[in-house]
Amino acid sequence: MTNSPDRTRSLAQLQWLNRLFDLPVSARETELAALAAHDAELAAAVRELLSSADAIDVDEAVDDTSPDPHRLGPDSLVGGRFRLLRALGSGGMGEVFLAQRTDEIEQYVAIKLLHEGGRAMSRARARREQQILAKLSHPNIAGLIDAGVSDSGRPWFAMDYVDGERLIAWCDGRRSSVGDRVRRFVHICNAVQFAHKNLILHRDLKPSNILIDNEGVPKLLDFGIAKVIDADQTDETRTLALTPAYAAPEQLRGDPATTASDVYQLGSVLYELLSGVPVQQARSAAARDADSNGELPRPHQALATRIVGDRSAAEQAARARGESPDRLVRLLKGDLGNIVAKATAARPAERYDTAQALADDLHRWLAGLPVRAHRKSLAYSFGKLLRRHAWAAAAIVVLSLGLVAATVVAFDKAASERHQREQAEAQRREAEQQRDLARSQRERSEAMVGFLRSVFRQANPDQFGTLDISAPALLARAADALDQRTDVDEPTHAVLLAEIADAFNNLGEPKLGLAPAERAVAMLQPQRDRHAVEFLGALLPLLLIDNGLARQQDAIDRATEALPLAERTRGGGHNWHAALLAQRGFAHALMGKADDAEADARAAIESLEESGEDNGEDAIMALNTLASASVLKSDYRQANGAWRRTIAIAERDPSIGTSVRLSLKENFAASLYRTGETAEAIELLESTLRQHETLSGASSFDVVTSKATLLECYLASGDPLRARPIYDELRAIPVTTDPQQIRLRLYVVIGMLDYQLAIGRFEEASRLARSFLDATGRNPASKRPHNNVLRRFGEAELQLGRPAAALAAFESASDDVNVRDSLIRRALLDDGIGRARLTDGDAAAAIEPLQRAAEGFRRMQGPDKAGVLRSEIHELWARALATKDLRLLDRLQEKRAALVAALGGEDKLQVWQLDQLLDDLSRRLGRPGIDAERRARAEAGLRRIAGSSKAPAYVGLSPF
Amino acid sequence: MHQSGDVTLLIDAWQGGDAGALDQLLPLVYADLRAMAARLLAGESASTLQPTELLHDTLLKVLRVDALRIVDRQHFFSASARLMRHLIVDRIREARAEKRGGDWERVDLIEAINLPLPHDMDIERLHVAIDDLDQVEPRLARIVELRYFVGLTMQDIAKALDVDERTVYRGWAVARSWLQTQMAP
Repeated sequence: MTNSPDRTRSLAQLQWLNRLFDLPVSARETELAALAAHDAELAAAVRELLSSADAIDVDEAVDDTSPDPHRLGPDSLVGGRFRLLRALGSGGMGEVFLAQRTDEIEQYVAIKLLHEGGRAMSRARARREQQILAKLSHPNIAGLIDAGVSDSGRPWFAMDYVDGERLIAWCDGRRSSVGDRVRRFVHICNAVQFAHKNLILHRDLKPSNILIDNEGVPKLLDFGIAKVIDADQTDETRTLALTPAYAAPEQLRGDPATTASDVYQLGSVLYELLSGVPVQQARSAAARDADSNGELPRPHQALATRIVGDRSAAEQAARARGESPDRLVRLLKGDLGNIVAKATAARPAERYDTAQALADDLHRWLAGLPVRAHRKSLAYSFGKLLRRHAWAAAAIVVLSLGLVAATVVAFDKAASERHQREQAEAQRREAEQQRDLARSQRERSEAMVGFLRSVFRQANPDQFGTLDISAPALLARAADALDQRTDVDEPTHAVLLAEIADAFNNLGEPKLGLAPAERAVAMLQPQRDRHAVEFLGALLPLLLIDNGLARQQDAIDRATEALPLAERTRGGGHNWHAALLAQRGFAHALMGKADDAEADARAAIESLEESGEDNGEDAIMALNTLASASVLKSDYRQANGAWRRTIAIAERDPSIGTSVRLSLKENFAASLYRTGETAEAIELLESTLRQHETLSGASSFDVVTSKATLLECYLASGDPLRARPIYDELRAIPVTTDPQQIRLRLYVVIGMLDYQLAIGRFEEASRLARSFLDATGRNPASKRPHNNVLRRFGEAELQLGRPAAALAAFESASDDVNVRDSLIRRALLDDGIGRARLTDGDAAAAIEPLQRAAEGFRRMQGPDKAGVLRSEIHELWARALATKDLRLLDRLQEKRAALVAALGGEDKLQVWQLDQLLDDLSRRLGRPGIDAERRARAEAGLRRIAGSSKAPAYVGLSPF
Repeated sequence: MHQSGDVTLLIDAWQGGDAGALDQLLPLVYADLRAMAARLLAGESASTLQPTELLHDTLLKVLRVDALRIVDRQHFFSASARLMRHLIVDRIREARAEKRGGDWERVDLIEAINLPLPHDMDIERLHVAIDDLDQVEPRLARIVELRYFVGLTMQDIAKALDVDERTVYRGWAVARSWLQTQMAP
């Protein structure tokens, strides 16, 4: 090593660092100021080193995997009843051990043992604090169990032991999206809020204090302990129990901690969680910047700085969030950055008042609503609404540009017709008509734009004092305002009402759209021949709404009645004939009339092909109807083809709204799942789900059904662990008894049941299914829900070893007409019936239904798909038990190889289940079990999935 | 258990340029070192401690001192820590020179002797930085060596160096902070 200037400098930095590190903050500042006076660069470097040294987590210094066994007196008892087992970590305050209770039921606890020679704490005081903290019982807080002072004077705390991973590492390891991180973080805010309500501050919130347990539940550690440690502390500036990197500025100044300082610390954690830039690094960068006023740089700025300074670190951070660095910057630039900035404002008064307010704003961000953190500007709320509701932007564009474009088309048409027609008189009349039409359309479009602008202007909080008006409320207000306008003629009024209705429908609120749509149609009805385009333009959203509200007969009647008019009407951007046919066909499909639906769909497609318009929205609707009819007829491969075409059209047509595009992909994915194309389905759903969630909210119908489908795809790919986060999300959706919401609840329950059945929680599944059936059994509208859940109830009973109850459930579900008509439902039920008979001891009677199930899957999916193999395996299993023919064991081994090939690996749920089955079967046939290593591997896999020390015993393989 | 004769051969082979010999030697040296550390830290007095022949020989050869007598606990650990750092760095250099997947070798080696060295740590640069640390604040260098190259916990380091734990924690924080700047690309 040469004595380069660099080296000299870095050694000087080390000397300063070593000297200043032990000083209180105020003394450090004095020294740094003096140093800066003659070497500002050195001072800045030392400041940064100090800041990073403050943040060094001494826990890292303890290698959990190789604790020194000789020191961990396995016999030492703490508090007379906690036996230390091993060291978990170690920090500035003391050490943490895993310990076991010796006095009661087996319970593991974490014991925090403070350093010897720490502050003297009286036993009485420890007891008092413990009584206060013991009240802090919250699902996201690791509870304090006991506290005391050891014989040698070391204070100790016994807390719930959380077997988990640190929040940020956990998220990074799973490549959690920003949205997912925010969702988990909200739980932390709630926990802090809960403690604040109990008048307890945390005072030392930091990433290492937040763990995610094995269930994926965030847990906050060390609540209130900082206070106990500092209580008798006299050191004026720097509190021992404080991690300076995450402390609020007032805490660093030595002011007492408040709820606002906890909010600041929450903000600091959120900063790092989202941006990947630890807050102390951002802060030291800011300290060099004279203009910072002590504020942290915005997270997106910190990230941008990092992209320049350390591109690979920035890329890694972005990758861990499933984004590119640039996209992550953009994501953090908007509301999220504002939320973090408000939480980490240097002045406590500028922060969120409570942890709850922070959580609320994060919720609003997740729901795509305007957040409070932002300056309340019109541009902001306007922009936000436009971003959230593509329809709003589209409405304005359509209204202002779209109609103008239609005018141009009209003129073109007039011109070409002028050439074609020889009769001058007819030509003149035609042109005049077109001009009149164009003029009235232009006037109308201007009126609409003016009107919509005035509606948006009302969202200006400076005028109305409220910013967080929801889009439906805004539309309702628009409808009211419309009725009071005198400068709007009736057709315009009706068209605007129809727009509003359409917008409600696009927002997933068809109920609210019904009245305006009906009014619009009624207003235009008398003039429907003169204003045919306007009339049909109002009718179409009404049909969509009817279909959305299960009023299919209304849709059929209305469409049928208007078909003749539609057939002779041109213009308005639709092939009206095809559009109405597609909607009527869809209504048929919803009523289960597959043939009528298919006939309408094909007529619509034909009409579109004739007119050469087989490329737009109408074509998508017609194909969608065709696909739905195909599903009803169990022709899933035809459905796949139709959906693939809709997506191709949607990708080419920029006027197709995002939500439509997403729904199409999700429908396609669901169909792919049915035909066993699980990998492609997963890829599609993973690409749409988060976007759809941002657009429509976590509990919108489309999002919930897609989540349920994705969950089932994960299960079908043999990987239940991947399904876990979705299961948690479904579980978090509040239970509703609203009959309108029953279909939503159905998908939630189905997803939860499939997951529980896959991981061996059979009792739980049985209970959940029963409670759903009890709650909906009397609801006549719930026939289909009934049989879907009934089958899963039967499955749970079967797995629990109650084949008679299972058989009864399967057979009752088979009775349903919807099941008779659905290949997939029938096959699944036949498989269940077969396994139930087998379990009941009648293997011979099991063969036939299992054979039928295999045949059904084969027709649906083609040979050698996992779904087919499953029933074939079950069938062989039944045959082997019935005939004791040992050769069938070899056949099963062949099927196993095929299953491994279909799933692309051995470490899959269903392969483990098969190994379990094979082992049991060959023993029953008097043969040795399967290879011991393979069996151990299966058992271990199943244990891991079940998250328990015992592998569940399955009856057969989970479905695909 | 190993035969001391074999060990002597191994040491000679290694000194003679056979890098592979060090691979066999290191786990043995570590086993001895850790056993001694355990006894020392469990409270046996330094005077009763005798390093095994293996450890003694290795210390002598690597540190190139004429005679080594363990004076006290602090001395023993300081010498061992330095020894281990040099051994590991030597091994990594040799592996690199052999050009047979140096990095793989490194991970393999460090895992075999169970050291808490971060996987992405550039050992060569760490080695140079610790030399610098040694000049300004030797105790910081010892803490880093004992942690990274012997694998002691913070508590054990405190005992080994005969200082209180807070001193070790603070030293560790200072050293790590500074090392980060030295290791930065």
